[in-house]
Amino acid sequence: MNKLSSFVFDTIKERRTIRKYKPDAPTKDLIRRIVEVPYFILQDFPIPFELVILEYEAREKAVRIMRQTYSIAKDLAILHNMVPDELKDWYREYMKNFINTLGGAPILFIGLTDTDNIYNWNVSWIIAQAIMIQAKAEGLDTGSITFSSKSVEKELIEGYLRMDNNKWKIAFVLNCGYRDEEPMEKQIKGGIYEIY
Amino acid sequence: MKGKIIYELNRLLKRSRNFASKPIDKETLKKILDAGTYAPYGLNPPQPWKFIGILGNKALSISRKLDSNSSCVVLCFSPKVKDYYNQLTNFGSTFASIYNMVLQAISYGITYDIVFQVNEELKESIYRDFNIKNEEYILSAIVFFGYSAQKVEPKQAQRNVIWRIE
Repeated sequence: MNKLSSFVFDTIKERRTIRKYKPDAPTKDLIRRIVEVPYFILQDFPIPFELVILEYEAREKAVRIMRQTYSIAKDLAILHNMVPDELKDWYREYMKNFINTLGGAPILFIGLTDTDNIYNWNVSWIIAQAIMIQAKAEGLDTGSITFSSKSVEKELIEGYLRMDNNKWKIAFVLNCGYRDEEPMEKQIKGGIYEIY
Repeated sequence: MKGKIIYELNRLLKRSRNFASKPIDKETLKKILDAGTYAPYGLNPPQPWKFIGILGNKALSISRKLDSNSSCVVLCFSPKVKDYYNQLTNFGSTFASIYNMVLQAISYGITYDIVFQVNEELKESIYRDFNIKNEEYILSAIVFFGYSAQKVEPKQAQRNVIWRIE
């Protein structure tokens, strides 16, 4: 493995989903390079796509809307089953904190596309990962917020972002900022690829 | 500095189906696949994907059917689940890992292309040849890798607005 390949592999490996952030806001210069990365993907895979970056009060308003859905808590509860017994109490507190603040990151990226077409959804997730890796390389952390509620999605798109809910759907919501936690060790299990 | 390096590699993202004859070795393919396993997978551990890396003539026989001359092909499968949102999450994780693979490949000077849909005949032969159960996995994409036949020029950032800050 050459030096560049090792560096890329380490950056990919070090990217972890973070659910608790410091309030410190990254500089605009750091964010600018991150938000330019989707251009390069879109040149290879043109799709209808818009990226909205929410900071400060704008982020808080979006968080208040997203917190209305129980689906975030439901998803975290599923993860609770996978946490070792000795960490379950800690994880319950951690869940409560996340549900209240959605991580408290200073920045929220919302990626929107026409998800009626699965191709657009898939390309959007190439973009999401590109954003997360670029952020990692800039010394920042990210984490996806997933929820499944049509009414909350509609309120975010139409009521808040003032976009056409018939045309746009949310492909991803990403927190971004400086981590205020060390994530649990990641288990990579074998048998997920084969080479012929 | 680290940010600049990854940014510059992203500028080299360039789809291609016409690759140089220089083959990709198994060790390099393994590293590319390893990078893919470090994508986020949310609620679906162990990872919600299955990759099959193929080298040599077997890869060529697939890529030729898709107008490519790649001798390094990765078949990307997402597990089938009943819940619609979970299925979307599985697809999202699979494509996040494809990005990881592509970025890792670029660091070796390797370019790529992604095919999102293949005809039923090819799909059936892939499921049969690689012993994949149709009721368990969806073939989400086929990724071609290869050394570029020509020099890849870095892309320019288009600064027309596709993003806005609130």
